[in-house]
Amino acid sequence: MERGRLGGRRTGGSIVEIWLIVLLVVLALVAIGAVVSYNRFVSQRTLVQDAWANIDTELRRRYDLIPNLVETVKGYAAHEKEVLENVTRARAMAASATGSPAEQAAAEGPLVAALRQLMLVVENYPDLKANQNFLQLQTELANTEDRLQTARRFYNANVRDYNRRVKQFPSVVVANLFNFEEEEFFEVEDAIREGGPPQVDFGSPAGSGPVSPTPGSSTPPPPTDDVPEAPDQPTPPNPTA
Amino acid sequence: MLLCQRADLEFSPIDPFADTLWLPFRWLGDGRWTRAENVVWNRAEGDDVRAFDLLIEESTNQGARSTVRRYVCAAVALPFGCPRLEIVPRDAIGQVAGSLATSDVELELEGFNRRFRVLAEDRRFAVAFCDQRMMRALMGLPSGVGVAVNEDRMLLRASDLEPAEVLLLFEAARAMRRSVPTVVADLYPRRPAKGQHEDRWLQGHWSPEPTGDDRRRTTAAEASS
Repeated sequence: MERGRLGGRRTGGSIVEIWLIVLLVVLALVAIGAVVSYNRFVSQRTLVQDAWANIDTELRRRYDLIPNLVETVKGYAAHEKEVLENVTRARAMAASATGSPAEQAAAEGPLVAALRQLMLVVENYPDLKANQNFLQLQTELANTEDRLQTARRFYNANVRDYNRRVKQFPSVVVANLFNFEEEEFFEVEDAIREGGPPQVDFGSPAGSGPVSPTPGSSTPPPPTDDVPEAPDQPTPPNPTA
Repeated sequence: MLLCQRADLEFSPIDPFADTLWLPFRWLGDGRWTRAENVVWNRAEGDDVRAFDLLIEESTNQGARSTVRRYVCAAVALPFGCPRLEIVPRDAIGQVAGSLATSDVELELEGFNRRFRVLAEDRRFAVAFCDQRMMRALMGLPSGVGVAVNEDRMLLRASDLEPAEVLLLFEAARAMRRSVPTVVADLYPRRPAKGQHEDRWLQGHWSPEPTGDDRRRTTAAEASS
């Protein structure tokens, strides 16, 4: 009888131990999963920051080219004062803009539009189009725009992957716990479309921020089946053969 | 052969080029022996683009009957040096050769993402290489054709194609060579002259600029060692 009592207690104790071990294993797996998810968030966020640094580098490269371009065009089309001043002012505002990628995209909008306007004006001056200095600047600008386009696509691809994990289950739990928030895309064309034709305000000092268009939204550009629209830079003019 | 003549292409049943089997793709050395035959190229353009049949005898245990796998390939010379990239049709089981150092890359075109899986050692290179024009060219490939890029070569590969489709593959390879974005050569130049970039190149970094994937590949290399 005593043996039976002792045997029953041993069986009950074993079941509790088993459940305890199972619970510990499950908790350990959840903890490991959380750690892995956290580390992956950190890696992805670092990748987004590195990609943004690439965009910044290319934007600076573009800003550095514009003064030479304006001076070269001025030599042949000095009376196109309004267009040249538009470009100079827009460049100054874009170069001094700081803030989120969407705000920076909004600051780039007027510059992109002003450069397009400038290139249209240049079409009326065949001597300018044949100028070696202008051709070299044109080539460098086109090269910079290509690099900027690639940097923008790379940045947006990383942001898309990161934002998807922030919203998906179960990684959303880790994201909320450790304050991983969605990043903004960098879409200059969207900013131009939403804000309408750019209007640079000559009354405001340079560096006070963009007057228009309205900052681009953080709504992600979903993958589409359509070929995306023209990139966020002026159409690179083809160098004369 | 008649099809090649009509298309004004050169044809040789035996591989006249010494470097076909030395192309920088790991799976070329998978079997006991590998042979290229039925080579097609354009004499005017040289050997920058060539199509060929590739036979690989699989390694087997002693006494077991060997299997010869046959692929139709097109090799393209590229004007830059680049990390490994594979664009694999999602319905082609067995073509995936991912490793710890590669990652899946999703691009802007949903139709392209549905049809292909992109594996890359360097995500920035994948994005730079697969622009809209290149994605359209890839969408125009025959069904079942995968693309691999490594160092200065691109290789299109299919398990089985009709003779007429081989010429289609050859033309597709030529079109893809024209579709390669010019910015890639700027971002990923060939082996440079002595200097800072050469030091990075010798350490396995294809781009003179940090791409963010350097850190990830170093971690993956350390983990695998």
